[in-house]
Amino acid sequence: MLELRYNPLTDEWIIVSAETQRRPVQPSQQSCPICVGGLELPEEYDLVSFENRFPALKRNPPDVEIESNIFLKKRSFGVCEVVVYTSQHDVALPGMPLKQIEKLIEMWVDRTVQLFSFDFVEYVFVFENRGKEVGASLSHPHGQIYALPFLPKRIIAKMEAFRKWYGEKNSCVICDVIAEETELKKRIVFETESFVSLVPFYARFPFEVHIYPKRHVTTLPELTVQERSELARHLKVITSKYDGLYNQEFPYMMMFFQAPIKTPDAGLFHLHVEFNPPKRDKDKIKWMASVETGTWAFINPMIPEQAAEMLRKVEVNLP
Amino acid sequence: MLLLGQDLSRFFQNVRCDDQSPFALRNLPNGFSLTYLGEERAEIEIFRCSREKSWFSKSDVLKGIVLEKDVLLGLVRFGKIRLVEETEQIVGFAEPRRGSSIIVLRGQGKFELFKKFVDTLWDFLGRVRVQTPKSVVECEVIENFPFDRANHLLMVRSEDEDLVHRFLQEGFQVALKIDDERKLSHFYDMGVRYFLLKNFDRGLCERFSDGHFVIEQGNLCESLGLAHGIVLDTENLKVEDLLLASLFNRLVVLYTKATPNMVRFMDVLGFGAMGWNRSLNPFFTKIEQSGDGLYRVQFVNEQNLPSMVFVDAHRSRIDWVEDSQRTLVHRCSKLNDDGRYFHFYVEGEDECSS
Repeated sequence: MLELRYNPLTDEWIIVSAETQRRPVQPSQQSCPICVGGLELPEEYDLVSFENRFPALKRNPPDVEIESNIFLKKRSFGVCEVVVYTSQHDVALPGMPLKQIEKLIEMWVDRTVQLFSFDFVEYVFVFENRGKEVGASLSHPHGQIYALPFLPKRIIAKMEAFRKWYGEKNSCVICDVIAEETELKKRIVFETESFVSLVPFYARFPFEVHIYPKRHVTTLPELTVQERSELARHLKVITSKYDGLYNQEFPYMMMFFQAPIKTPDAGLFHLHVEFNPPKRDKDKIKWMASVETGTWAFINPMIPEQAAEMLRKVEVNLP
Repeated sequence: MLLLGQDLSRFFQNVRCDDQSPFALRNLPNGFSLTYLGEERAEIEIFRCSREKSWFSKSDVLKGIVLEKDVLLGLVRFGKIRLVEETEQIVGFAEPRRGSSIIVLRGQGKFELFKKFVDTLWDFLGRVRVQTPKSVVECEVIENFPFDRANHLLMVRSEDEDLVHRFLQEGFQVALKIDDERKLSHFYDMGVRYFLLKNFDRGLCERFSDGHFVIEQGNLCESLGLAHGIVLDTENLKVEDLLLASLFNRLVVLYTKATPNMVRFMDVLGFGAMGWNRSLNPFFTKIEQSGDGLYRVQFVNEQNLPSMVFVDAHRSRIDWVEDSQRTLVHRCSKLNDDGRYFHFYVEGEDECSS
């Protein structure tokens, strides 16, 4: 079954996808479906983004049966893509050559431009789940893209927050945060000419990191070639620092928040990357339990400034 | 300015409409709206303003929008909007229908007021579902169809069912010119989704929810919130008016022809293409006014790189500023036997393997 169901209790759409139950969990490299010669990619490749075999959304989804006037359903239009970063099974972002990450960014840019051109797409969400702790079913370095037919709740909330700040202060909230944080320094993890990576003052997860472009841009395609190159450096540095924290592959959710460009005032949005790692210590998880899941109120057991200091101290080879 | 025979300032004073008035007043941020609740009726005078102090357009593209000093008045969903130029005044007439609205906004500058008007309409019309402008082509021989079938509409002027069926089977997105709803329904059931109509029925979008309806001729303001697109002649529009009209492309796509030297500009501004070829995604286009008659238009070019075009409306000058760099990779897409797309990204000038 593939359909969208409306939740009137929270005014949002839920994606029901029984197909994703069938997706594989990869036991070993020999059976990796996205290695060269694997089920999905029999031939050599450098980078590839392909439509998921078990998608939650489809370009041509099945019809839905209307049950009642209360229980609203819609066809689950959209696109779900698997984004394969490299043909090398064991080289994730920390160990990846910078040029490969730059090519990856260009792939994300192109996917964003193409997917936003579909009439049924309201939002393009680029992300990576790394580690079984966050539900990644394959270890080969990859991410995903969801081209959604509605604006998800948290994107609406972010857009409202940008509007509210602009309405009160006539400026962009992230632009203002950057100005303040680059003065204070205590939460900054890595900074270059065009980007700043920091543990936010308002971090929800223990080692949460945000990457902000210093220039007010709303989407990945608006980044210049130089800015894309710097973003690649930040992605490599931050993920390397994560792995260096406890000398282990550090699980995380990496999410690119781009403007909902079909909204008239999308220009208020400021592009940003969020890393939400679930670990709060070497072997301890910060679980999303009842408070977080039920009320969306987060409890962070780590002081953000301390997390920033710990990450700053992790030495990595700066590319 | 007089609105419905009364001084405009009365409405800004939060005065209620007369109980006998068929118009319902609603406050908006920086303005108000008047929505007609009566049944369809003959033409009435809507507004009267100073000819010397006003901006207005007689073209079908922007007729129905007038500015006087710091006030914009826009007519939405009225029929047969007509402007009469008297010696000292401009008088606007229109035929009200149930749901016709007059939107009045206060602000600074023509461009900012237009932007505000479009933003207001997006909300006012119920969060319009934005449509991507398409390229519409008519091709005699489909075996040599030179364009990407996914992004181009094939205009079919014949109601030959076998022909239409064949085009659909070949994977074309067929656009059909049709005026009979029974026939429309029949072709819709066959799989046609794009229709060019001379006479538009407001209920079509609800009855055929996956359909995409373009009105063959008419007025922008009359079509707002009704159809997905309208075919308009922009040939004689000044550059600044093109910029202003382009703001509406997110509400109703304006399909138009373009001369060869204007194609790229129209592509950037998000106009639908009649007989020319779109190549850009206009949702990344941003227009800002940088001075009197001066505009900066930012967009993402064919190389997926940020680019800019500067417009001097007074001199009708368009200056392009583009990054000459190339991207590291380009896309080679393949369609799998199971119907899934695979997008391979290869470096530099490498050819896509077949």
